Amino acid sequence: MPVIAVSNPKGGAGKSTTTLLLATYLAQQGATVSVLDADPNQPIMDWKKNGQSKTTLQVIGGVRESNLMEILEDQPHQFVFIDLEGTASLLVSRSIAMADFVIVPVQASAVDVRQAGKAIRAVRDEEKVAQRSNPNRRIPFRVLMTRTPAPGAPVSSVQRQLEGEIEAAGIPRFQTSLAERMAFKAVFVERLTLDEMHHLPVGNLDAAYQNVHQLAEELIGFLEETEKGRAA
Amino acid sequence: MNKFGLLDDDNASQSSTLLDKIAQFPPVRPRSTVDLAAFDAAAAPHGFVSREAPPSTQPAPVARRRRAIPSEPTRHLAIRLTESSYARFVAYADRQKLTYHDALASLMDSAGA
Repeated sequence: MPVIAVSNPKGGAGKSTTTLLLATYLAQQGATVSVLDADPNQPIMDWKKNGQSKTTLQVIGGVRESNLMEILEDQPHQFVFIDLEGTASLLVSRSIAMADFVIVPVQASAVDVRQAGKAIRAVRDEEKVAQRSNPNRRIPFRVLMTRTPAPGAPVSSVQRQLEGEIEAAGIPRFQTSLAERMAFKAVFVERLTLDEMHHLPVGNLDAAYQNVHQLAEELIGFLEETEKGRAA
Repeated sequence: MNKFGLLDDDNASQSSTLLDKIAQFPPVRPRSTVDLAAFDAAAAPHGFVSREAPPSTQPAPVARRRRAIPSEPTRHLAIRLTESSYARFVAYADRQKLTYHDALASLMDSAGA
């Protein structure tokens, strides 16, 4: 059961969008998936509770510092995502400590990247602490660029600089990025999965679906590597 | 072709590969117990601190008795005193559940003034 924490202390980096898209995609592929909504605004809980989606995705709200461990223990699913709040809190750091993989979404903005640095340093320190009791414990992470221009559209110089800086710093990242797409926004507006919006006038749904598919494939690849590393 | 035709055939075959990979992930793995205090300490220097209000362990403060309407005309007395005397006086009034003017009267009664 990989636990996947989605974290960036900066709000609006795309944590909930990333979580919901990946979780609903994997659920649609037949996986058993749950999302622990640890954002005080409960965006994914709202999506599930007030929407009409038929997804098999389970959403658990009301996650707090004190009950995180218990809730994690109770998850009988193949994949557990934790959608974290946009702040540096114990709930965030504990979720990172319990995670098998951390996704750090960042927009192409200096503020986002600096805040992402906080999450990355926390991951590395939490890993060191975990290794005191288990030397093989790893908390792998990848930065995910979000709200990038759609393929073919011009890339801003800020984004190019940031990508260069991330690479120069040796920070691992997803090759796939989540593009800025109306379809991703519509998921929250309509409270449906991408797959369930085929009847709605949402722009370029196929491209959006393909984008999530690529991201999910990359994530599964990383999780496979992690599982193999653990078994070795 | 997938359910809603969102993927073409090539994508569908990619998807079935992904499906096989997903199936390899087992549902539940018991998690080892962790030392939360150590994790919290490691995260603190990066600004990861508790944002949740701790449950209140303090008993609700006992309200001081409301001021009774005095039976004679009143005068205003403003006094400046040291912090320690101030603290002693307020603590005395709180302990005896007296208004400040009743506390002062009580102290004068005790002193025979």
